[in-house]
Amino acid sequence: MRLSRTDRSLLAQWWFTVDRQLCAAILILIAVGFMLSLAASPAVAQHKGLGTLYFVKRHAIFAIAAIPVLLAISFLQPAQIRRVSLILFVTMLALMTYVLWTGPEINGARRWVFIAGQQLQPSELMKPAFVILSAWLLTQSAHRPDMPALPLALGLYLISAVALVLQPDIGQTTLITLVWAALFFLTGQPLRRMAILAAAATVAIGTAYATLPHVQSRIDRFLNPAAGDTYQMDRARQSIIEGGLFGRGPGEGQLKMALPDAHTDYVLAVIAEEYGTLACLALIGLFGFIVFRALSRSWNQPDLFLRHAAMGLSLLFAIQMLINVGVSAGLLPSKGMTLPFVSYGGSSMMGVAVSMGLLLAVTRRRPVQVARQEADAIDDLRGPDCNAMAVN
Amino acid sequence: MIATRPRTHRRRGLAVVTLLLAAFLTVGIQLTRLGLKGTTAIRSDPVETVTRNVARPDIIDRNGRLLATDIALPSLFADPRRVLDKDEVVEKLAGVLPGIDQRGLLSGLNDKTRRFVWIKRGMTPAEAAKVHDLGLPGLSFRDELRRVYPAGEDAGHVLGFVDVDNRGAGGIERYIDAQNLFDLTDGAGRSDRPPLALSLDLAVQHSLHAELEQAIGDYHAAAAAGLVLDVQTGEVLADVSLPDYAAGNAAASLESNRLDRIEGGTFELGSVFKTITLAMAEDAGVLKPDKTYDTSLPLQVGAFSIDDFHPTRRQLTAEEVFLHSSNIGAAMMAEDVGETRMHAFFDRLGLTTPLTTELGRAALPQLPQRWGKLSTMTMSYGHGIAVAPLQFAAAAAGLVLGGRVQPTFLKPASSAKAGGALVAATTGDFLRLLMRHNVTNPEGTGKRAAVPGYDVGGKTGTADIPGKGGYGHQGVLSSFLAVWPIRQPRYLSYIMIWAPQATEADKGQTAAGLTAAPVTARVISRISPLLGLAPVFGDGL
Repeated sequence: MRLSRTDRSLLAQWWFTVDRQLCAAILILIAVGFMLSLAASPAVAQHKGLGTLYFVKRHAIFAIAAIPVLLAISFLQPAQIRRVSLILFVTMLALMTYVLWTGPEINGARRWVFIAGQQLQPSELMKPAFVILSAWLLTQSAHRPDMPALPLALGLYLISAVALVLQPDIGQTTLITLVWAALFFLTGQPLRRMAILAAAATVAIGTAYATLPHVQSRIDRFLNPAAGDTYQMDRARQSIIEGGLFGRGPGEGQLKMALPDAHTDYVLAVIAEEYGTLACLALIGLFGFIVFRALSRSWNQPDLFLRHAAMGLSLLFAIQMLINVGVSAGLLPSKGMTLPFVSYGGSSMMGVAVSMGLLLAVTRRRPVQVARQEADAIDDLRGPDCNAMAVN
Repeated sequence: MIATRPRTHRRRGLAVVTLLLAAFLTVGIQLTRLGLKGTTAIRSDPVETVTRNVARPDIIDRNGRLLATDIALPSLFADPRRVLDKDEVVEKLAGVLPGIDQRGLLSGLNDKTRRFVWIKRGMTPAEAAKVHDLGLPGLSFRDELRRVYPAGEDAGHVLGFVDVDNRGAGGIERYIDAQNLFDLTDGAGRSDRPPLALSLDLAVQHSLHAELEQAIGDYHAAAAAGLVLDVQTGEVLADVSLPDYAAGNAAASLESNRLDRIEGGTFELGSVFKTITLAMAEDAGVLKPDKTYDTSLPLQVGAFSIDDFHPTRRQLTAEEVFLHSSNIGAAMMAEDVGETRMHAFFDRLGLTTPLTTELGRAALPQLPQRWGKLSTMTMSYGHGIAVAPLQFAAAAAGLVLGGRVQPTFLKPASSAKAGGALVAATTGDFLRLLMRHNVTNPEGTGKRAAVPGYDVGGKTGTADIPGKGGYGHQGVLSSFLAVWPIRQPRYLSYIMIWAPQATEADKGQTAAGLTAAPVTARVISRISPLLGLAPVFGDGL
């Protein structure tokens, strides 16, 4: 099939406007992630008494399913993006609330819902929708003081954060807090407001530390390793050291036998042990390419919603990766954060696929007239001074 | 108005991107730092015991007959994690392998942290087949080398035994380990080292064993021991101590009655020591041709009285002292030699220092606390000094040969005559003449040791066995030292019988001349042809 620039079909428009390098990098990451998951999954599956290839097969199914989701979402137009995100957010928030009452407790947390025999972690799919809605509301609040966008954005954040804290899932709470704060900052909110929110956040964290033993234990352990059981972290760090620059070689690692979370939270340590830290750096380089490619692509985006949505999604992706790697490398307290596309987990995989699909959608090149059309549509709401900037 | 200008957006965007870059760098640097710290050296955490087989060389006798070898046998082990039903495993195994430690096995299988538990080391292929047919999951076999002794019944004390890991723990097996003559292998492959050749002659060993068993039966004796030495090389051709144990039977070796009486115990050997006394007196020049020793009365030394076993109550020449085994005469000779010279002579014979052979260090000689007048006198007839029989035999061989003899259990002998001249050549001749006369003379105590054609010379020894409260209640230790052919000494035997009873076989007497001497004659006539020694008929010395 040949596509022509004169072709007005949906596919042709997509092909010429989507960031093909970004798209290729994401697909490569999915493939590499599957390949690297082979290092840890079989050993963990055996250890848990499942079939050797139990996790490998499921990872493959999720990875293959992730690709159409990713591509389908990348076709969405900005208005559709907002609509889909709103539906997704409301659905997932409802599920998260439902889970709090009925969900089974796994590893001391209620975050799983069972739908048709499949486990689903709604918070994973909630995150990208949250970022889109936050980007839109905060962008609106900066430009339309007449709309109650800021209180809505704050409300959106608080309801999400409370839902996550109640699970409790401090890692994800930290993640959405950082992304929301970055968006707040990026959208040009006054620094005074930021100071007030920061003070409130400090109080909130202090309260969490004082009231939630789960949080307290994790923070205490990180600050004072001798105080508690840091076996997984110590073991992961030791494995990275033993792997050295070039690794022990595929299949030679010991860590995957020792840690129950070797295929999820500590997959990077397994990779480091078997393939070496240079391979890890290359993997982080691939993440970095995706993140900075998306950031630079949105740098001159005239549509501020798209600009901030792209930046928010990039940050969501980057911070999740950084937290996971930081935990494995002993820089951060244990969080229970997955490494996008590499860690095993269906919900995580789908959530990241949605994120990346949205990222592709919001970084699509928009011909000036399309941008102008949309800008005109927004103009009706916005006023003339903003229009000048949008065309800029 | 909220800042909406592009400049603000750019500044803030730049700040966020800078922070993000810093975070990427931090993570990258930390990973690089950890990576550089690391070594790619493989460190393995073995999850199960690594089996290393100890492959031992074969042991053969001096003529190449196999005494010990390794064979690969299946050993049974379990992986507790894979065992489904512990009780079933224990119950079914107990049915097939009687005598298995059920309690120990159950506790081993209960330990889920272990992936490897031995159940039985070394079993017959038939047993292994039965266990296999039980079809129990989690059990498995591994071939291991086990030591077997095809001809080990007769030479247990010399061959010794190995432990459960096929490591030498006694006898010549321990020597193999001490000398690092074994190999550690991963599989059950046999050693490709040359076999270890012992000085033992299996035929001689078996003959001696059989004759000593016969003697125990004939005299209702408590124990018997004997050795045959090649006096020229010091090689031990046979070494039997009864009751003994089959080679490899470590448990039986621990029974005190089965100790190795040749090397592992010291005994007061009695009048056989007069060979040493006469040689010493001759070498010291205190024997004058016309000198006689008055044995008409017991010799009084302080409160102690020395008397003869076969009293003659007359003047005896030096030769007669030997022939009649007169304690009084021997004591007088020792007194003539004196304490200092006697001590020095015993030192030269190596009787005062520990004897070490391939089997290890022999039991330490028990010497008098001070070499006083009384000690010298009692030692002259073999009391007040206790040595390992092998040590005495080596000293006696040295005297008839004129040079020191170091006994060895290996062939070729590691050292033949270790030292130079021990005594003057004439002393050796003198001693051999005495020993020969003791057998040929009708009055000699050793006349029943005569074997036509083999020119046997020898000396009896009948020692009271010490017990609680003194001598005389435990019976006697009857022994006979023989050297043949006496003209050209080749072989030396030393036969001992503990507590023989007065029976028809010894004409109601337990003295060595009627017990150990005839046994020696039977041994010599039986083994000399085996050793390729042709009888010579003609006049004696």
